Amino acid sequence: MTANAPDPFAVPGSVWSRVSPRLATLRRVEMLCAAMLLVVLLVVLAVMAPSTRPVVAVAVGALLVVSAYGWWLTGRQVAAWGWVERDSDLVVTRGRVWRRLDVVPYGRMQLVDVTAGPLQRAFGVTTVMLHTASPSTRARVPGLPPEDARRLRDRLAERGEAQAAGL
Amino acid sequence: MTADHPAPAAPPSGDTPMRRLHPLTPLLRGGIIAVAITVAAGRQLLEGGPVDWPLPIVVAVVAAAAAWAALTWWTTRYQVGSDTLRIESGIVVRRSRRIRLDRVQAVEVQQPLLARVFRMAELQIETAGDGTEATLAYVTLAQAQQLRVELLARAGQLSGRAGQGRAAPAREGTESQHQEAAEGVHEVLHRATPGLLLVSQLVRTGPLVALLGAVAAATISVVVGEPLGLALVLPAALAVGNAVWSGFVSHYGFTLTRTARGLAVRAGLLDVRTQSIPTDRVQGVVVVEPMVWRRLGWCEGLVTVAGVGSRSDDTGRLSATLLPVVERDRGARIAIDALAGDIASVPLTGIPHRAMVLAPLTRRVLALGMSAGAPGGPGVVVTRRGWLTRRTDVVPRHKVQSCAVRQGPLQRRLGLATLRLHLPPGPVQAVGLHRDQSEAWRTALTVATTAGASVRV
Repeated sequence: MTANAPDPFAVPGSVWSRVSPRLATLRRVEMLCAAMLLVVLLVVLAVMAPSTRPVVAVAVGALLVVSAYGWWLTGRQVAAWGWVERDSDLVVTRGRVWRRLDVVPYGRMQLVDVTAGPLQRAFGVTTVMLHTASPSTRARVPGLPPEDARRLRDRLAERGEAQAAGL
Repeated sequence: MTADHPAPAAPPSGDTPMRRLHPLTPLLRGGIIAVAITVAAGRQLLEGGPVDWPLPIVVAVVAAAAAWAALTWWTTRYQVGSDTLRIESGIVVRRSRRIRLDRVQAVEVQQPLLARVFRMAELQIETAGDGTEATLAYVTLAQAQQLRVELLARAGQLSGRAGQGRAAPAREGTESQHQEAAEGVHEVLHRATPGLLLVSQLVRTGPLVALLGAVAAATISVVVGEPLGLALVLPAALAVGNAVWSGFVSHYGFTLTRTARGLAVRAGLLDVRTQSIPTDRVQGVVVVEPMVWRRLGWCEGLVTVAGVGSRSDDTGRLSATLLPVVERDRGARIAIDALAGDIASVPLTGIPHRAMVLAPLTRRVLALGMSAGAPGGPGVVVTRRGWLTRRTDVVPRHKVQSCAVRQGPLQRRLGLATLRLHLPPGPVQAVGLHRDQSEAWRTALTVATTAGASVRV
């Protein structure tokens, strides 16, 4: 998608709020840690069994290429997340190649989850997730600064109560 | 624990005293063990040998089972309170369960074969959300029906729903009169005839394909002179027979009636099942037309009810059945009835011409339509899809939980997108495949706005 082409899924009268770029940093760190672990294992293997060295060299090279691709892809994926708070519903978009947009009316929300693991807390990113009576609803906003996440949750809960529709 | 002594003081207003299940319960439960022993013994006899179990062991097992069943019966008590149903049970580990009546979604009266002989029934209570279920087995049929009406009435009062079934259980009369009195029946909407039911189960796509496959295998093996293919025929025939038989038995005598609160279903040859479908809990209806049925003008109606039939197994499908087999036009009329919506007048539009690459087989089938909320009517979304088995999903706009639009790389090149409407778990899945992207997005935003704006109904 070129930058100039109009977004066919734009929300009239609103612009997408984007998630924090720190989410990309976090995901890249996670990815690199996994890659490093694999490299260490491969090096140990090469030292213990010299006959495997050519294979190990190819594998490490492939790992580097995959990591570089992953680095680039992560940036694009994180940049594709976005959300808009409309009058009566929350709109969440994600993905670039496989795009998905969810529209969840506030009145349908059963509960709002705010989660952050230890690593997420260290990077200051929090995930807000909405649940309705349907298990297919997948409205998740990752990578919010904790303060923003809390405010978003409170706003959602407030509007949900005001517009509660139940089943 | 006051399990052995009913509360001596006058119970609070609306509470009934603690009650036990029917004294025949241990016999009915133990009956299963007796049947198992008889079957095992019968098998030994059939296989030629005499039954060589030592008598003392058989006696001891039976006595222990009987004692256990009796103890279980003695320690199980229930009480219908003003806002909760309380069930105390357990011999070693005591369990006390309280079910909030305003959470009760549906109460089913089930009659397994043995219980039916003694005019007993079991009561299954389903609640919202986590789908917890409580069972009271066994009570007399009359008691079960009375309890059902009582529980539903109290549940209705608590959650402020209007239009309750009139609780006027008749003391005499046939089973169905009991039933109808309890339900406040207005009219019978549909009764499945056994012949049509049996034929329809046979020509469903699954059994039919299996049957044709078996015939083909048999023909080939006869022609080639290789007997291996014949070995496939028996298992295929058994599987088909089983599917047809279970469909026939569970839907036998299927009767759909309109009641004060909505619809009620009664069906089953061996195990009789009674279920109520309150109109205000219906989340959507799907009309299914398997390949051959379409030629014959038949269809099947399934319904998603909040808190009912969320299990994806046979039990779930069974309790979601609105009509096992019916002529298409009548089925549509009854489905409209269940939804209180207007389906016939919803204009369906097909997919754009450029989408035909992505759906070559279903290009004339795929369609979506939306009716604007007419005054008094909620407005519905209708989607149609499926090649061999065609399905038409109908969802009232004010019942939609959330909407999703998805676009894959090929769809992006063609400017298409797929629209999904999310409902509570059940058979209804409204999916508008390969729509024009801006139309799909507009529809998603519009439907979500209606769903969000609707007041609790």
